[in-house]
Amino acid sequence: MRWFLFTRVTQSLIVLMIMSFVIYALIGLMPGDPIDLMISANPNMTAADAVALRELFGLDLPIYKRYLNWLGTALGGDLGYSRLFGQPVLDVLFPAMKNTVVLMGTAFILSVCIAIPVGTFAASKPRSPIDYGVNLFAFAGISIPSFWLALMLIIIFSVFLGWFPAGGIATEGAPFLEQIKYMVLPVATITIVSIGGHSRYVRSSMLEVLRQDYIRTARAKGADNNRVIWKHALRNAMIPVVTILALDFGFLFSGALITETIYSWPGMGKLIFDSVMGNDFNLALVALLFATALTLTGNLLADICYAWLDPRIVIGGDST
Amino acid sequence: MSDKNLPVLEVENLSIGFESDNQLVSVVEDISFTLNSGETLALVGESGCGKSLTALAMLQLLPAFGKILSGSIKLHGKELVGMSDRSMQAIRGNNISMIFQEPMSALNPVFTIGQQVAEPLILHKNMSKAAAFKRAIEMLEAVGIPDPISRANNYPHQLSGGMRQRVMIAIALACEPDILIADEPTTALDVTIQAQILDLMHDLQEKFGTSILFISHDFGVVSRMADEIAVMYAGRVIEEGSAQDILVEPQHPYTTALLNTTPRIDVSVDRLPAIPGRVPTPAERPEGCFFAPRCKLASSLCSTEQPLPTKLSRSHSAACHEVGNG
Amino acid sequence: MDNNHLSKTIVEAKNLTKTFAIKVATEKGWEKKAVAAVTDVNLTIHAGETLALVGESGCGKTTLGRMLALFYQPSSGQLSIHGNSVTGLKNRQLKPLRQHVQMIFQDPMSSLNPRHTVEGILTEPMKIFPELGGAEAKRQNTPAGRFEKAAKLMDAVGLSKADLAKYPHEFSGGQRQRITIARALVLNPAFIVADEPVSALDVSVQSQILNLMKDLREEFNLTYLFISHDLAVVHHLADRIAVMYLGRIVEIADRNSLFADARHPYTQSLLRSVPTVTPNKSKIGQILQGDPPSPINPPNGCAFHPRCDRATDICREQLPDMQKVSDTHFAACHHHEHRVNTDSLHTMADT
Ligand SMILES: Nc1ncnc2c1ncn2[C@@H]1O[C@H](COP(=O)(O)OP(=O)(O)OP(=O)(O)O)[C@@H](O)[C@H]1O
Ligand SMILES: Nc1ncnc2c1ncn2[C@@H]1O[C@H](COP(=O)(O)OP(=O)(O)OP(=O)(O)O)[C@@H](O)[C@H]1O
Ligand SMILES: [Mg+2]
Ligand SMILES: [Mg+2]
Repeated sequence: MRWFLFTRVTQSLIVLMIMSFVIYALIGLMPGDPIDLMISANPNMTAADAVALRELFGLDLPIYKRYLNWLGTALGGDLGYSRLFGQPVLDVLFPAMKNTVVLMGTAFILSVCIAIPVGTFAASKPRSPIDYGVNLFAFAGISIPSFWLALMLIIIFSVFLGWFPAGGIATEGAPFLEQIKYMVLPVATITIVSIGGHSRYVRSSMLEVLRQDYIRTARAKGADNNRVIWKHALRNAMIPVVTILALDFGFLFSGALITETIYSWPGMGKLIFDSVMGNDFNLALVALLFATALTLTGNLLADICYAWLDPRIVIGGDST
Repeated sequence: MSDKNLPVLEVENLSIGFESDNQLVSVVEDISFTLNSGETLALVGESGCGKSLTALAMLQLLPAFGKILSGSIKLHGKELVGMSDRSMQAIRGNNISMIFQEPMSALNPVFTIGQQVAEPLILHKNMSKAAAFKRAIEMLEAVGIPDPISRANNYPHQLSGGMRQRVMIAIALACEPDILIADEPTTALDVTIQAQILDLMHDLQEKFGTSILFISHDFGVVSRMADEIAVMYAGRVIEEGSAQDILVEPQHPYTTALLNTTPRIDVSVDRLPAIPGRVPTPAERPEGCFFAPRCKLASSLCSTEQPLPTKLSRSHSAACHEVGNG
Repeated sequence: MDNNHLSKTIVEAKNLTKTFAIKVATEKGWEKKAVAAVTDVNLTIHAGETLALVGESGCGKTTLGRMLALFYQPSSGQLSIHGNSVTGLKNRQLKPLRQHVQMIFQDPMSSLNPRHTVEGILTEPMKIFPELGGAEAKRQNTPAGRFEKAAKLMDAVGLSKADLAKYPHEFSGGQRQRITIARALVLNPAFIVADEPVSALDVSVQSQILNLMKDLREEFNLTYLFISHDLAVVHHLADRIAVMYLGRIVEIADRNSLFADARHPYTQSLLRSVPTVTPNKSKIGQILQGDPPSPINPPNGCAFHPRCDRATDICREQLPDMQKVSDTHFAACHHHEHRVNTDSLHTMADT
């Protein structure tokens, strides 16, 4: 297990490294660089000044050299300053990341916890009215755009009913209930959008498992339907679902960007959006990298779940 | 347990069919047989003749859209057809158990084999988990798994095919059922492993007095196992009798042809007397005798009228127009 | 056919070995290991004969068959087919030799392209090998000529010309196997490797295919390597039989000596395990216990010794060489002079 973790973490770090270059290069391709920004801010600057400044900051170097410079300082612990916020990048990033993890984690867990019983239940009665109903709602959930749903929820629950705030986040140290109030609508948006897909994965995986020979064996032993489904089938059905959920994690992240922006939720999504729009290169770069790291962590967790669910997967440990 | 030769399982005029698009296709038609206490009845026939469906019907575990259309199945005189799901659950794995053809896929990959053998004991015998697990280890030992204590904690993928089939047998016999249904239990195994499993079933039948409904397409295997044999063709039992009757003095032209066409290592022939054509699918079944289009002896009567089983001796009967009256 | 044709060698294999690199789980995660699927096989197959290959699942029958059919490159050893050495040849150089060897598989459905008609399936090899078969054949390699040939082959395997327009799923299992046999015959091969061709078929259909293979052997002057795990089928069809155990040939003999006077204890227990069709409800007894060992960690000495009740110290230490029993019978056993009358087992059962 330790060996497995070691190799997987190494792999993830390599991926992260490659991604950092790709992101760096992509940002470098964006029109305008910091000096252009300075020029637009300061009309007294001459073209010669700009060239001199570019040289000073190393912006005239080829991209890979600039990248290596950046990497050197970044690995030294200095990720630079955010231009927009006037703070070290990490000081801006960590609170945002915490907010995103809270929002996404809650929505993800909620979605999975609802999708498993719903999908399983639909699969246990295929082609029944319940199954059709679940399918209908799943498709509705999949096809609703998240920005539309977010707007609708705001109109209904904060504009008309006034139950929840339309956006923002509770101040630090506010009572728990107050914090929850701010979370309800964004969490509901992400959950509703992802639950349809999740329950359909569970349903189809479950249907596949229920066709297997060992399910017939379980019935032949005298197990009743509940036991067959919840004890014999569920764990097997979760094995492929875990993989899909891990892939979905990255997808969820990009979905969160929109949701966070609409609800002004101060998370990574909003931060990335703001930093890219505001030409805050340092912040955009690191924020995107952290987003990548978060997705990779999700995949790693999925692999561990996978090995835990399926005894046929050997992770390092001895097996015959 | 009841005396030898008393009927344990009586099947009468059983028909099984599938419902699709409001159409009913009957697959198994009007079959009857009796399994006596402590004996082995073999159901023999080629692929698709309905052996597995018949076996599954005993446990009322037919696949989706499959249905018992008519007939009766009596366990110790008690009718099973139409029984509630709950009462059937109390019988499955307890009074009637089943083992299947594919030992590779019949065990649940995510539970240890000890857990899987223990399960019927927990379900039917009210045993605690620990007691059931202890008994499971004894059962694993009884079916010849070496080092059963550590093997009980293995997962199915860590066992060979022959070992898995032994585990299946341990599961099936855990509650000491009256009847074991074995659906081609050795078809997926090598001959040497097959021989091991067949010998094991002999031992266990002696030890537990289990009656066995043994399903196979292989006359060789059947001749090792059976007291009685019922030969099926296209969903019907066309001949039934003692092993001696069927293997030595077969009367139905299909049984005779099938026996002759099976290659043997104790007889050399230049050409195998082949049966022309193939088994009709349920939708292709002709009027009259289903075997008539492939039968050398077929007369015009055969293609119009379904032959009924005729008694040839106390134990032997065959369903053929050409047998018994000519 | 001329007389010396019978002694002509179609396949000659010397120390043929095939190892696969596989990954196995160890404490250090996945580790690469070599599995010897086939080890040091020496084999000669003569024109016109049927050599059967029998043995337990996983003993290397398919791997050996595929090497002889030029599907796999041997890891080491020499192989010559039809008088041409194929050792170390590149794929391109092998292509002209492929016409001499064809393969038939166990599962006829998965070896036929479901989207092609039978005509497409049968004419495709002729399109791939347009240069084959001399001037006469080349001249006939036109759409009409190819159709003609396909129709002739359909007739030879007991199907009709009208079936050429159909797709594989429209046939029964036995008919599909007839089609794969017809396809194997398209390029007029001398040698056919049949890998369990009747294992997936019903008894009554199996006998039809076996008879067909016998007929075609005469008609097209074919040589077969017939892979099977069913000794009864092998008994019916084969002239000679090679028994494999854990990647090696442990006994090879003409049919009658093998069934009457098997010398390798593994062959003897195989023969004992075959059920005969006689009412005889009883244990077989004296059967081989245990499972075959893993090819990843084969035992020392004779691979069979852990399951052999005749094993002595020499068996545990030294790999037995092929020992000559008679001109047509060889066994790789240190105790090959130990005989059991396997024949009597079956005659006993008969009475
Ligand atoms: N789920 C199903 N839906 C529709 N038809 C089915 C289904 N299962 C089986 N059948 C049909 O029922 C017939 C009998 O099937 P069954 O599985 O009992 O055959 P079998 O004698 O056990 O054959 P085998 O030797 O191949 O196992 C077959 O012709 C098959 O087409
Ligand atoms: N492509 C491959 N990669 C790795 N190992 C292989 C490969 N093909 C075969 N093997 C291994 O080589 C051994 C021999 O396999 P092979 O398929 O030749 O056996 P076989 O005698 O044909 O068995 P069966 O009767 O089951 O068809 C087995 O242990 C198998 O796991
Ligand atoms: Mg079946
Ligand atoms: Mg093979």
